[in-house]
Amino acid sequence: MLPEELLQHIANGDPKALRELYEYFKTRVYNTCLSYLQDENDAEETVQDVFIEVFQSADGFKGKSLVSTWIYRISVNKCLDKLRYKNRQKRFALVYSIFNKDTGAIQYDKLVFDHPGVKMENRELAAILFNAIRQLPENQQTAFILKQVEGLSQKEIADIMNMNVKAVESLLSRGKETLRKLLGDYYDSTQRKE
Amino acid sequence: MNETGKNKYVEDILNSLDGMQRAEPGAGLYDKIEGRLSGKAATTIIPLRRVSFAAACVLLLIAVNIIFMSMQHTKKDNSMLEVASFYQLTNNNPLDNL
Repeated sequence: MLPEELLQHIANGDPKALRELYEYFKTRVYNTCLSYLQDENDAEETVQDVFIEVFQSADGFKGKSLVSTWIYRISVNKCLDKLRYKNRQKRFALVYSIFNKDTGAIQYDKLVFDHPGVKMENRELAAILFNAIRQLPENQQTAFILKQVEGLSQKEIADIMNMNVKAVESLLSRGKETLRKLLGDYYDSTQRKE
Repeated sequence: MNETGKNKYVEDILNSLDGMQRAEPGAGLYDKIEGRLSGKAATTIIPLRRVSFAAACVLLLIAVNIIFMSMQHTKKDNSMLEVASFYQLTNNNPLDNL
């Protein structure tokens, strides 16, 4: 069955159709979430949120975009929500740690993220890259992840982000520039330590 | 510090995702989604169509009530006028001029 038909069935409350749609998109959604959140547990939790949202909003899908675009859009929004929530928690933990030195340790941030899909020989460098991606502004982060990790075309990214292709092109180029700057600074700091 | 070395390092990092494989979510993930959905279904999930229909019914009921009440009000005014004219309690009552 095509994704559009599956959504129609989901809108009519068919749980089998949701399972089929999940099987169809689970890898794409999971990898997108993993790139944003850089933690397997958080990514799985967000995948759940995405498919629950798909189930609840299936009857609101008007068919103006591809189902994949719609699901990517939900995934990106859920990931950004989760990131904002985690950042709020981090800020709270930081403030808390100022007043309570014993229990306020910041435990929300993993410093090194080892993506399971990265080639063994690239893992160390990829961990540095993921750390830098985390520091990009939201829009640049989204464009970079969808392009470099998900391998989507600029047109697809533009549809997901509700922008024109030119804007996406500019976001990607600014994102790469920011990453070059961040990675260059990181290189300088490691040279100073040696 | 070697600028070429730095540029190469940065480019190597930027290219470190080349040939990356997609990761797979855990096998039991769909069961968790289903579990959350059935939990929610029992408590909160009401299809949007049903909610819209219920809201439309309530609005219709309120509208009918308002119309009915305004009709009653007009009818009441008319009957008051009838009583007034029967007892000649109008502004044109000749007794007022005495």
